[in-house]
Amino acid sequence: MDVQMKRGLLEICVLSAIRDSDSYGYRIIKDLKPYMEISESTLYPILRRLEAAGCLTVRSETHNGRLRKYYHILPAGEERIRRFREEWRELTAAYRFITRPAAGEGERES
Amino acid sequence: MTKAVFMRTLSDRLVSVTPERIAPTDAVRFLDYYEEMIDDRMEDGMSEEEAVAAVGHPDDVFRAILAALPQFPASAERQPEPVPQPVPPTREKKSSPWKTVLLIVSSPVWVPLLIAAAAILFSLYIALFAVVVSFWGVFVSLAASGAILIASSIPLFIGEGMPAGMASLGLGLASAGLAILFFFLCTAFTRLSARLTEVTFRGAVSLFHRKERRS
Repeated sequence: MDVQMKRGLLEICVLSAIRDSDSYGYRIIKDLKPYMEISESTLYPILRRLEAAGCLTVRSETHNGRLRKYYHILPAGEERIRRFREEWRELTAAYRFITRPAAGEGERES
Repeated sequence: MTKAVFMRTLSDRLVSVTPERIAPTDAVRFLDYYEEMIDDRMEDGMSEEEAVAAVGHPDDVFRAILAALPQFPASAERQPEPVPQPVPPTREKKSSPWKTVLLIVSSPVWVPLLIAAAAILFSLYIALFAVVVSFWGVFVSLAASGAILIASSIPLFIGEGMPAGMASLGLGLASAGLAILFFFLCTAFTRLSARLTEVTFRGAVSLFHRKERRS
């Protein structure tokens, strides 16, 4: 996949992982695993970027006697997800056009 | 590898980099992040060794951090890395010695031409200046004669009588009127010639600049 495209897609995935409830690094990776393989080293810059862009906030909470960072989605992050879904609709339309059967293909098959 | 060894190794790697690239506060955040990842994996049921192995070798993690640095938002502590400015090609490089030789050899032709052009421009400017000065001269003489005629009409009224006084006053008022008209004409003309001078000067300067850049 194109690096730029994958980066953008991962950002949306991370935002979606914290959309319903606040989450922490390891859980985000685990939640995404069935859909998208993401490593710790990949996740960190994404979280930092999203934080700088005002899409999420970070807070530290004690958990089992240690600190754990929780990520909380902000309205800007929700807006990013919403925009992505709109763009996706356009993309799928383009995909249908790109993958349409070649002219005459149907006739040959029949 | 134990968690302690992992953390120590990664910490060593992070401090080996200049604070301009990774600020100390950023280094601490990296370490906290990876420590949390290992702790969470252990809490999830992995052994310490497994958890560390899952996160990766500290050298690989460090390489990944370095590779991802350009993606990071500029932190307050981290100085932006100086962007190497593309060095503009110098003029000296562009101009070949042949052009200079040609310029010197052809100087008997272009130097007199340049002087002639400058002289024409100068004479045109002098002519323009003369016209402006003469316009102002007309204005001054009209204004002066108007003032004198109006002023002298009073003794003429007294000494020579009504017709002489009236004639003087009428002529004086006419001159004064014309002077006022000329005043507006003069200022407009002066403004125009000033504008013309400016444009000419700019044109000459830009011509010179263009020539300089070409050579």
